[in-house]
Amino acid sequence: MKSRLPKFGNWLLKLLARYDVNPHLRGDFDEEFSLIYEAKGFGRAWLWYWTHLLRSLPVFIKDIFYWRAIMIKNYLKIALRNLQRHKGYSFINIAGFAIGMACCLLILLYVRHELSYDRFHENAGSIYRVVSSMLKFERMGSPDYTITASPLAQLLMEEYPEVINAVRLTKEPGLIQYDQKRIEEEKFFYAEPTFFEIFSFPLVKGDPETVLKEPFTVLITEEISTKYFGTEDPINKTLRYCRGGVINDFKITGVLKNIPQNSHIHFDFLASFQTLYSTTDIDWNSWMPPQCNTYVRLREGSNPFELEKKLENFVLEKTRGWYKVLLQPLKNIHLHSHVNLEFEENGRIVHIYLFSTIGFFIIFIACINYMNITTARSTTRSKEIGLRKTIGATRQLLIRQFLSESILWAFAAFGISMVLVALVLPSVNSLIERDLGFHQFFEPISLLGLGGFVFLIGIISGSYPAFYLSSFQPINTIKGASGMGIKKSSVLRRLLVVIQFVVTVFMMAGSLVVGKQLKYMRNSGIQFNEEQIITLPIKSEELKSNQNLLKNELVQYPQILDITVSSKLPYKIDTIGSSISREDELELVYSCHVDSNFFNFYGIELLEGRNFSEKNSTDVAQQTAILNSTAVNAYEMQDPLGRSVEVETNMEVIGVIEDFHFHSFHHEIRPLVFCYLTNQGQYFSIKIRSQNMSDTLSFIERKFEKFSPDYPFEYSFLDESMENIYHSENKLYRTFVIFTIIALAISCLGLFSLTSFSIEQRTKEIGIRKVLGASIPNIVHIFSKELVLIMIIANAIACPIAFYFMHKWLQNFAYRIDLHIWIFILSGLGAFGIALLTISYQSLKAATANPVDSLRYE
Amino acid sequence: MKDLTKIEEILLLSIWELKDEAYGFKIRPHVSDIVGKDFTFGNLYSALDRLARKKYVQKRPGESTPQRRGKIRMYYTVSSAGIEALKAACSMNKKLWGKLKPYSFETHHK
Repeated sequence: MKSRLPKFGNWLLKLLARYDVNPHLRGDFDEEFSLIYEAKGFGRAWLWYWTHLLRSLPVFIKDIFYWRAIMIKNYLKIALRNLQRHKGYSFINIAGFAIGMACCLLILLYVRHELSYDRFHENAGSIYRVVSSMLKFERMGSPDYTITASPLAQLLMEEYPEVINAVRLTKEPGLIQYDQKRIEEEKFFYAEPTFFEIFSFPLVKGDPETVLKEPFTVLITEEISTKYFGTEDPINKTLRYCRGGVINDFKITGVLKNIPQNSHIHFDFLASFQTLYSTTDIDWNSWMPPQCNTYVRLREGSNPFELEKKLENFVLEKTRGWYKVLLQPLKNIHLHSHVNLEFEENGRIVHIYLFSTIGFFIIFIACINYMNITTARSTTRSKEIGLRKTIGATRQLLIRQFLSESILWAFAAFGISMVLVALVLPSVNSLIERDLGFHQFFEPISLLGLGGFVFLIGIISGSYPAFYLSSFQPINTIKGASGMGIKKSSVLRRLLVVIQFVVTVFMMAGSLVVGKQLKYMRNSGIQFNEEQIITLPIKSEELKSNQNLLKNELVQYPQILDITVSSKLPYKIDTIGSSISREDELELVYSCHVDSNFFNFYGIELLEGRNFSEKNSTDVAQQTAILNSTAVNAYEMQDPLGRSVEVETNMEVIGVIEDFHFHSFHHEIRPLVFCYLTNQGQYFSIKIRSQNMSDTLSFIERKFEKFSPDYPFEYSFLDESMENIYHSENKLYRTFVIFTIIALAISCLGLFSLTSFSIEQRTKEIGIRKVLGASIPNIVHIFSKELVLIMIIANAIACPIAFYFMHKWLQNFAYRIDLHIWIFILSGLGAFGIALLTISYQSLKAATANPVDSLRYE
Repeated sequence: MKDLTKIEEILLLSIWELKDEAYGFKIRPHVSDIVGKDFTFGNLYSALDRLARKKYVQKRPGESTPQRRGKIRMYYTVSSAGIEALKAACSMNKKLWGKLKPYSFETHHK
């Protein structure tokens, strides 16, 4: 008989048509199918079958929900009763879940925010930043710069059909004056009118077609508008802008909407680029050195790599072999670009990976907790399971029950975690310096995604308990042989605890290594004594020319111990430009202008030769140079003193100083040349006594204002500024430590409840042991010996993994700590100690309990 | 006692009418005939399950035939509660329809 129903259809029926309740439904189908088959043939029967099945589908699906809802109501009732009966365990279960989920949510917010950078531009996909890659900068660290030659933009638009538009952009901080206000503004940019054809920064007031066309016009953001003008309309008002002694008036022609945080560039002021032609004496047609940022918008579908290739020779020719240009996709700038002269510190894609992994680990630990606690406590549920099975629940139904229970807990924890996130979000924002908002969650897709995520968490953490618990034999459970399944499952449970501690030990070792490297970097820079060093930037022209006068006046004050003036501060010397010529080859070096007191002030030792002196006429004429020993080695000068080097002009080497870290530890120490400072001073460094600091500071302020009345007085403490070089590492470290603590806490929470449960189970045993003469250490030993084994295995797994990853991380630094074995021993012992502490309270309590009470129990 | 829905009413009456023949394969065409369109097995069993939950019908497992490939016939009978419900529905219908003269629709439509 060929009247077989289609296999797939059968499967569908079995899946959807409440097969467990109505298996005869398929019989009806079969009966009708064979009737039609005999009368009209297989084709017709087949057609009838499928159309009928498809038409029935909606009601099948509706019914699944209808009937399941009735059962789920019962499951929920039982779940809630269990919650009330075992408040402690339920609390640990939900708390672990909630904390884990809150971490995950925060990481999710962060990752989404980081990935959203610059995507709000309409043409984000076809915008590229042109960066130049210096060919002769091998010794200088990263050879790439965000700035390129100024004539490039125009040429790109004219000569290359794939370029729709190009814009030049440059940042020139200045002092803004309006009415009584005098404020130093960092984010003052100049841009060409094509800016608005490339980027989508909306204007609140003004016409994007015309706003940047006229010279001496400026756009401001809404924020700046309120800062300077309050509620007044800023349009056509005039702002005075001072920079380097030049004063210009700018007319405001438009107001920009505040720049969203997820933009790699933030400007407060945007002035017309044309202005620069008349206010600066830079040659805007020259190809060397690079002058400004260039962004291009390419035609849809054009290949940026091809354009890059076409440009290579062209630019090399124009710049006489100094650099070539590369195209960076706008969307990649925030996470992938770390070239010189970035507008702001960008994020790092590795952090995205790192935190996603951490988030995954933490939620994983929380899931393991749930699995462990639920299976460990299975005995308390075994009677219920047995009863359900006896009155006809199938294994599938029980699995469904436990899954819906874990999903319920997952959603409850999700609710709590949302509250947690809302509570900690402000502090998280200040820690990671972002402006993450809850609003991201309240989009239909996000909500759906989150719902799915929580559902999945519930399924995963409920899966093992469900399969385990549903396998109980009703006869055993009702007879009370509750210990039956426990031995079998405890191997797996121990394995889960091992995994938890592998993750925890790994994170602890990681944070130890990061912390040690940071400490190493902090302590290897320039060392100071207990005096405070403050630094003052020299901004006004007046002060620049009178720096010696101010210096002399300040030195009179008894609380001021020492003063030096330099063009850069010793922790951040980033000017390249000088070049040492050697055998007709130009080599670039870092350079810094310093006065004669600089080395003494910062405790930098002179290895050979002499220091600068104000009495020496060749020093004053800037014909002498002092090198660091790296420079001496790099240029293979056996006997450096008296040799001449070409640094801007021909200079005689008069001294060699020891190497010190004059920029971040990511880079090796590079060749550095010091020249005598005449009036290039950019910074005062002032050593002051720590007593009466506020008096000293106000004294300095008074003096400062005398020479530089236009500029607000600003100073910073050197140690703080030095910390800031490793700002992103510090931030990473702090975040990492917090997550490590959370991971540890959740693991211990699980361990705590596991121990307390196993003690509860063995109360009688302990009582008997004590009666028979076991001492307290004996009892504690019983409970901790397992933990020792677990921790040894966890360490054995975690340490090699941690070693591998931390080794890779340290490769980021030119100067790094050694990965000593004791770091891993310490983290292993630390985790062990905390774990031991966790279980010790309960095992001690059990061990010291009076056996009379424990034996009377049950 | 809850009021019967129209489809439950039709089903109960069909089962009652079919007597010993009342199993899925036979009920379906009977109901389809009354409602005037193809009534699917899906709809049929959805309604039957609800009737069973309200205890208006009773299930009685029957025999299997080769055409059913091993699956038994499940016969349905109207329970005493079902009969009570039908009576209530009937009296309500009488109140509803009783005052209406058969021709009154036609005059109305003209």
